[in-house]
Amino acid sequence: MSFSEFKDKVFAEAKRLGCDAEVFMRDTEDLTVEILSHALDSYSYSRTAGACVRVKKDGRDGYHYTESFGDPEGCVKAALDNAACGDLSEHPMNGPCSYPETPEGDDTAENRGVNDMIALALDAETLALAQDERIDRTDYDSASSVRYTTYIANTLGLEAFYGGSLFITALSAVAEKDGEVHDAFAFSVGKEALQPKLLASKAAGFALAKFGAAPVPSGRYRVILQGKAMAQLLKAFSPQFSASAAQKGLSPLAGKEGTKIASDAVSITDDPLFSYFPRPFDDEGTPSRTTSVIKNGVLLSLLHNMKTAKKAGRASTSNGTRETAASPISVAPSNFILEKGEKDLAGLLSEMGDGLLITELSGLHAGVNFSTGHFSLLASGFTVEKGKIKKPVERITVAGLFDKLLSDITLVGDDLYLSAPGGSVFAAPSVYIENGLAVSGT
Amino acid sequence: MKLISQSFAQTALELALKKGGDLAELYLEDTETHSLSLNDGEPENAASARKCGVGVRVLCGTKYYYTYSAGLSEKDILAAAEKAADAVGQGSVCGVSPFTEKSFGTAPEKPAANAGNARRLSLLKDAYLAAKSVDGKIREVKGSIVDSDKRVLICNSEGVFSFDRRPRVRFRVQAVARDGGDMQTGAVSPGALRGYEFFDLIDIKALSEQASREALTLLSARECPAGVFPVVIDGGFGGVIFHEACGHSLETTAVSRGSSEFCGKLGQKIASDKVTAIDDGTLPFEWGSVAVDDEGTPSQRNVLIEKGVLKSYLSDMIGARRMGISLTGSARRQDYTFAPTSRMTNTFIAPGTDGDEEMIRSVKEGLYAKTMGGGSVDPLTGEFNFAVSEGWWIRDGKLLCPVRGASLVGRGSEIIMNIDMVGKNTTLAAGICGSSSGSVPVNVGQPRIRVSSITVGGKGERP
Repeated sequence: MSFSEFKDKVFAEAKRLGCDAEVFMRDTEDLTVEILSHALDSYSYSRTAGACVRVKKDGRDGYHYTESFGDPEGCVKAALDNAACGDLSEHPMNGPCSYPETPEGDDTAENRGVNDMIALALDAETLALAQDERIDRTDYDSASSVRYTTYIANTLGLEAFYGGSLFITALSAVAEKDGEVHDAFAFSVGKEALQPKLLASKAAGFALAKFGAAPVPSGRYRVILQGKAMAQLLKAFSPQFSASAAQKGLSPLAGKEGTKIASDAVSITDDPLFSYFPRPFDDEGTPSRTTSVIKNGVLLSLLHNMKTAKKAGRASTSNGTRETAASPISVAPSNFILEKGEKDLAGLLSEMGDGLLITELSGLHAGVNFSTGHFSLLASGFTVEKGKIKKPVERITVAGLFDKLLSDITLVGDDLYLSAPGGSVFAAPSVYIENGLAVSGT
Repeated sequence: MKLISQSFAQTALELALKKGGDLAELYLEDTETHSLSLNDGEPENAASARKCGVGVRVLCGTKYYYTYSAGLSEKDILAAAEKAADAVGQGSVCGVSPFTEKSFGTAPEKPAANAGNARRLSLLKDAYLAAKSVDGKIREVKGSIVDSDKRVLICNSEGVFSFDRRPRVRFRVQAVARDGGDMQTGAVSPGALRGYEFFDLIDIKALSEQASREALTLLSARECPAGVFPVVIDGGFGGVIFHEACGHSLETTAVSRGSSEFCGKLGQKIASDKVTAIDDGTLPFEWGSVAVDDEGTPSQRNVLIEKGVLKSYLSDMIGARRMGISLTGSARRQDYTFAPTSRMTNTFIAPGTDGDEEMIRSVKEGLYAKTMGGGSVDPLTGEFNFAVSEGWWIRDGKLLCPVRGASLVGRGSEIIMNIDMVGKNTTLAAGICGSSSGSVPVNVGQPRIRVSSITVGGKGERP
C-alpha cells in the first residue's frame, strides 16, 4: 500500500468511527563518509521513515506511530485506545492553511555523489595536515548528505508538505608538540562545505591557538562570550522560553511577558523563515511566522504550540515540534537568533580592555539548570590585555545566572555564529559583559 | 509470519555482496510496542508503535559496513543492500550458500496486542491501590507497563535463515513515602519473555506492597557510615555489580580492543574459588533470554568463570574473528538501526553452599545491601561506584538498623577475588543494558553473597 492510500484509509476509518484524524510523516536519509589516515574509514547510510497517526475523540488525543503502512485500520484502533487513556488536553488541530514563501534552501547535496564526498573529506585531511607541522593527525573527518521531507494532513482539510537537503563537512584536528596535545573541531555547511581548505584551516587554527593554554587565577573577570559560546548558552537555556515549560511552572519567565528581562542591547527572534534552515510550517502544520521574543530587553512573547496557545488564549507562534515522528508534540525554537549589533570583535575587545574572551563552553548537559537559570561550565578562550588577545586559557569554570547575564550584556557584536542545521538552530553574535562573570581557575 | 521469501533474500544478499565482502547479513524486524503509566491514579503517556525495518551488514575480514532503512518492502530492502555494497567499494566477491530455514521462539499465550489499555489500566490500578494501602505515609505511586512483541528474520550468505519471536512485558511500580520534609522511594520492576500470561504468574499486590515497604524502611533509616567493611549483598539485583564491573569487560567488543582488564586472562584465576559465573540466554521465559542471537547463532549457556578461573568471553562475529575464538550466541542489538555487538543475556553468579542467615551471623560489623540502585563503571579499569537503595547495618551477626545513602566503591577484578561466601539460591532481576548496539533487556542475578571487604561510602556516624 502506498503512503497516500494509507492516509486515505486512515481518514476513512476515522470518519467511520466518528473521530478526527491526522497523519504526520517524516522521511530522512543520511549518507555519511568518514576518512582516517587518507582512506575511507566508515560509510554509513540510514533512512528513517515513519508516520504518526493522531486521533481526537471526545476531546481526548491519542497517538500511534508506525513504520508499516499495511494496516491503516489497526493504526486508528491503536490510537483510539491510547486516546481513551489521554487527558482532556484541548489540543486543537489546524484546518487548511496557506503557507509563506520560504527562501530557497541550499542545494549543495543535490548531485553530490559518494565519490565527491570522499574526495572532499580526503582533501580536508591533507589540507589540515599541511597547515602546520604541529598538526599530527585528524581524529574525525566526515562529509554528510542529508535529505528530509515532512508531510502532514488531517480530516479537517489540512494538507502540507516540504522537503530539503543539507550538506555538512566536519573535521577534528589534533595538534601535538613536545607532549602537549590539543584538538579542535570545526564544521562547514552548504556551499562553504565545498571548500575543504576553509574547514581545514578553521579546525587547525583552533587547535594550534591552544598551545600553552593554562587556567587563570580565580576571580571576577570582564568577559566577552564569543558567538559559539553565547549560542551554546542560548541553546542550554532555550527551554525557559517554552510556554509549555512556563505553564508547568518550570520556567522563571512564566508571567514575565511585557517586562524587562534583559539589557537594551538584547533582542532575540525566533525565525523559521531564516534562510540558513527555513521551513514553511511547524510540526503541527502551523504556517511559519517570525516571533520577536525579546525586543530591546523586553520579553514580548514565549514560544507556543497549539496546545499552549489555546491555554494562553492566543495564537501559536509556529513552534510545535516533534523530536522524531514518534515523539509527542512539544515546543522548541526554530532558528533562535540573538540579533547582531554594530561593533566587530576587535571593537568589543578594545571596549573591554582587560578581561577574558571565552570561545567555547563544555559540560552543558550537567552544568546547567534551566529552570533556576544557574550555570557552572568548563570554559576555554584567551586572556585579553589592553584590547588585545594574549594567552590561551583552559580548565577554568565560568558560573552565573542566565537572567543576570542577559541583563548584564553591555554590547553585542556584528558577527553571527550559527549552530549546525537540523532541529533547532541557535545563532548568536559575540557579547561583551562589562559586569563580568565569576571564574574559578587556579 | 513470512517476512521475505528465500529467493528474495538470496537476491538481496547477492546485491549486498556484488562489490566484495566475505559475508552479508540481513536483519529484518517487525516490532509492536505499547506503554502506559499511571501516576497517582491518573493514566498518562499511553503510547504504541510499530517499528519495521531492515539492517544490512557486509563483513570484510574484521571490518564491517552497516546500512539500514525503515520499511520492509522489497524496494526498501534492496535500497539498503545496494548502499551497503557501495560502502564496500572493491574487494573479492563470495557467493550465497543455500539456506537452512529455522524457527525459534513461540507465540505468547496472551499476546500484548489483544490486551488493550483497559487491561493495562486495571493491572496498574491494582498496583496503585495495593501500594497506597500499606501506610498513610505513602504519598505518591507511579506504575507503568511496557510490552513489546518483536518478530525478526536473520539471514546471511552462509545459509542462516532464522525466524524468532520475542514477546516481552515489564511491570514497574515506584512508591514514594513522605514524613515531614523527608522523602524516600522504593521500587520493583519484574519482566519476562512472555505475553500477558506473565500477570497470571506474578503477584502484583505483593510486589507493590514490597515497593511501599522499602520506601517506608528507608524513611526510618539513618545515614550509612563510611569505611571499609565486610558487605553482604542480597540475591537478584545485587548481581548488577557483576554485570557492570565484570560482565562488560568479558564482551569481545571490549576485549578485542584491549580495553578490558581481563584481556589475555583465559584459563587464569581471576576470582575466588567460590565464584562460578554464567551467561545463559536459553533460560525459558526469562527477561534477558534470546532463543537465537541477532546474527542467527542459537543462544547457549556460557560458563564465564568456573571456580574462579576465566573460561570464556562473550563473542559476536567481528569479535570472534578479531580474537580467533568461537561464537557464543551473544550478538545483540536494540533494533534494526544498530549493528550487533557482543552483549550479555541472563548473567549470574551460580549457587554456592553457604547459608543466607549464616552470612549475616558471620559479620561482626558491616553492611547488608538488601537492594541495589544504579551505578557507574569505568570500562577500562573496572572501577565502579554503586548506590545501595535499602541497606541494613550489621553488628555482632545481627541486623541492627536500616541505613540509607550507602554506596559501594571498588574495582570489578578485586571484588570477585574477595567474594568469600556464596548462598544456595540464585535469583534473577530484570534490567535494561545500554551499550554501543543500543538498549537490550538483560537479567542480572546472584545468590546472597558476602564480600570480605569493600569501601562503603556514606555520610553518617556508626550506629
